[in-house]
Amino acid sequence: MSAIAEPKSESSGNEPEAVAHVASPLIYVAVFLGLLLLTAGTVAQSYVDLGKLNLLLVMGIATLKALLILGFFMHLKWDTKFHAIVVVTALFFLGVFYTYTHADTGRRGEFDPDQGGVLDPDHAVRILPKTGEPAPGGFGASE
Amino acid sequence: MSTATATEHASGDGRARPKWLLHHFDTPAQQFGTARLGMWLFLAQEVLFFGALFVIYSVFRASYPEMFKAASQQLDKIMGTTNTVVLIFSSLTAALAVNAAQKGKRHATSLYLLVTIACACVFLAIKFFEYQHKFDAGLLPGPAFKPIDEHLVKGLDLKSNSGSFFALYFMMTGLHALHVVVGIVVFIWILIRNLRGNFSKEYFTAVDITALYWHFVDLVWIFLFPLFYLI
Amino acid sequence: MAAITTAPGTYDEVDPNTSYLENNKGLMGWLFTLDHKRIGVMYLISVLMAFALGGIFALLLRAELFTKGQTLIDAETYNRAFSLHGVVMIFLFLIPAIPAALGNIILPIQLGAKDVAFPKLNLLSLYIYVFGACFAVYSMIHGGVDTGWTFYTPYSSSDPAHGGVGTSSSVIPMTLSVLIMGFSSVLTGVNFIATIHKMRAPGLTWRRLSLFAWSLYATAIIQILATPVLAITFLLLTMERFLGLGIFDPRLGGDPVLYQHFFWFYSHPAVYIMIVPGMGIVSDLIATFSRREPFGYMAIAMSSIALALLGFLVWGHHLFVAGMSEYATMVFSALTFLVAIPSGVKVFNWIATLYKGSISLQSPMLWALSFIFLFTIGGLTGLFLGMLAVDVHLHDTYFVVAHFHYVMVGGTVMGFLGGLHYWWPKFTGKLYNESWAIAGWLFVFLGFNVTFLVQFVLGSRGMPRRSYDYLPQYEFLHQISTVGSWILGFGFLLLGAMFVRSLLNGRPAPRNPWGSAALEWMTPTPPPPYNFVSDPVITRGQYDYHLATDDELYEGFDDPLLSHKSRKGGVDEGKEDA
Repeated sequence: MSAIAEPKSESSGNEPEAVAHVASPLIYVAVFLGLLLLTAGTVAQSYVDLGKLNLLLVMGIATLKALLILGFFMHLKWDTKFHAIVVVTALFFLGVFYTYTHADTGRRGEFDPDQGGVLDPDHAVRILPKTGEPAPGGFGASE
Repeated sequence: MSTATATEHASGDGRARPKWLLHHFDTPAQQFGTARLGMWLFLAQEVLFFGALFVIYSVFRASYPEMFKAASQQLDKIMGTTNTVVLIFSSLTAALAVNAAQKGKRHATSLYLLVTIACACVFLAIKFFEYQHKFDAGLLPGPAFKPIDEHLVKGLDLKSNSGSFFALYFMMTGLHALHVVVGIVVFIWILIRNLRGNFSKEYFTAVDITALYWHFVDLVWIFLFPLFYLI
Repeated sequence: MAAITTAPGTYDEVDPNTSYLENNKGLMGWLFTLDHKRIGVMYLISVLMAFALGGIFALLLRAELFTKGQTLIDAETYNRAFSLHGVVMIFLFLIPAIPAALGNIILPIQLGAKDVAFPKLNLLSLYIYVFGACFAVYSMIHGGVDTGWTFYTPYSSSDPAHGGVGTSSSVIPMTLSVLIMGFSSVLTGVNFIATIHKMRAPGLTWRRLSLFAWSLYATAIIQILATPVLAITFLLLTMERFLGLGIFDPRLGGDPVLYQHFFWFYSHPAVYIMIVPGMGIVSDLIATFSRREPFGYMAIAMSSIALALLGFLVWGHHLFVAGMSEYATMVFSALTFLVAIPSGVKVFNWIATLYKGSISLQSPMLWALSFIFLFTIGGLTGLFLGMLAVDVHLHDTYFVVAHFHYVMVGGTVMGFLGGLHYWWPKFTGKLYNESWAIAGWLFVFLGFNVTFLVQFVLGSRGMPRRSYDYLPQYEFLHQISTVGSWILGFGFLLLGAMFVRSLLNGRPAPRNPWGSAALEWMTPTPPPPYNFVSDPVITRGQYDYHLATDDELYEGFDDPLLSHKSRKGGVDEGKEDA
């Protein structure tokens, strides 16, 4: 059997093409109103101080808005799944970058007690064993 | 030799090739799907591009939470919210422009494109005023941070190292604004092409992928806005 | 036979019976071409020039290190020499060499496609690369950089001209150069993924893809996801140097280790951009020159993808002694062990392919075998460096230098040269002199090992890297290493002369000089502008020797088992020049 044969059919060896889905404009308007609502919500929330919850809520609402835009405006809902995989992969590695960088910057000065050091749990700064003083320097150790 | 006998470069389905079908594609659907995929791959790159800046933001915020809170009060929430609404609206009109192009409605497409461009320009105008205020108030990046009291918003006291906050603010919103400018230029080009009659129900790829880019620009702002203005 | 057709959307009038070299000759035909083969050739010329420049810096370095103290140049110049050697070799040569040069020429042909998905973008990538390279040349003219190719802050970010205390060398043009060339890399990645997904000929299923194509796919993933982080890093570095922003400078409230995180988040996956396509070439070479399908085809393909993905998780192993948190060092060390696994899978599969294969030791195969041997050494020594406790002693010593030269030169460069030899007849239509090729290989292989094997010893005995001067006990080994560099340089010169000679009066190449079953050898040599005489439909895999016909394999193939007379087509002699 040879590598190349007569072209028999027009079927391509590629994935099935994404048929351009024509959505109703009403869906877009509905998404827009949803986005406006969420914007109003997040701005309103900014006038209330909820401490640590602030960041979580704000990011949560932003994520919801992003999902609306990705899914409807950018047609991910109706496109081939591979496009969504591309986005998810990019976000995943961004998450990896974020997580492991913070594994460093968020834990500077932590010291393994098994090595004979002492941890100050409030500030996660190494306490020098001889003097009892915190070790100098460190990013974010003081404002 | 068992290679196929030579045939002409016919289009995939035997019809005459439309003139917008490029030489290396077999069918219009292949061309359109490839263009879409290409834009998504480019957007994946942009996710990491802006995302890296968000990581820097997160590291600095984690280290200096009080400084960030105080500095963000100096940003005008009203202007920021307006910009957000304007950008979201422009995303809507961009999506409607694609929708109209898909249906072959040339005039509607032009109208929606025009509104999108106008909104983008409004966004930049508001940004300009915001930046101008920062300059007047001395709220500048790094060592140029020298706040002038009478221009400041009343609120928490600014810390002395707030230069880092404004460095990030200018870098991230500046890079975003640059992307808005590029979007405007490309949309103008798309508008011109549409007025010339280049697009049709069968071929509107350029409108579609430009709108994809524009939605992404909106997406970035949706995260920039709360992180700088609201918390 | 097809009449001459003018395809819309191109500048070229296309005659399928000519080669891509003859069609639309002239400078404009090349500078404005949309043909991936021509773009690839232009990339090839560029990267070879960069390689020569980087090599000159290397020879300068090693000459200086021949004796203790100053031999040729002073310390400041030495710092610039090794920095420029690194920047030029990595960003101007290693990153584009296999994907953008060889990949551009070969990938669409291996897919049965007429071109890449976005030919205009391809041309733009080339011009962006050249534009970026101009910035690098500008920087070099103004003295280059002395920060090392890693540009660690705050030395690189603190400009004395703006009140800082760091280097005054030409950093900003160089960082801008790398930033710009990064976009070239990204766009190539976008192009290749779209091409592999959308442009395959009918019948070319994912399981029939060549392993080179699989490796380019994996590389493209890395290019797209990692490079933007480098762009941002260097943008921030530029801003910091120019405006004193204070993101990476501790004096201004920043964090220099944060810079290292950002730099290495790209630069570690970057080394996989450099090695994975090399591995793809080796897979194809081993298959062809053992005349059988690769052992564990899917395992090799998936290990390329795995390498690409896992490569993003380990960048912290460059920061073990930089001041990272202990917790992070442990996490990264553990993950680094993981990333060695896919490489091991490949080496195992290559060797299993060789076993009971019909091995023919022609010049491309020599490079492939060298790759396996040298990359194994390089990879294993990387594991030593991945071990926290060991790295504390070996970091910033010559052990690291030896390790990465084994993987980058013993790996990537050998893979690149193997691919260059292998596909040379394909895209030039000429043969090179096999005896010269073997001689060149011998000098390169020997010279390389003499240069770098002793550096493992140097490093483990404490010789620090990037060091202009050293203690007397290291001098002898340094001298061996320098002599090795001369042997290595001579080998490259020999190869260069061989290829030039081939271009000038090499014998015309037959369609399939290696007897390969892969798709790129089923089309005329050199290929017509659209790669195939007519739209192909693929009916077997790239490595299915048991399914290939005699015609496909044997036209022009110098099989030592066949007598000269019994070969079809009357091709006389072997591949020696007339």
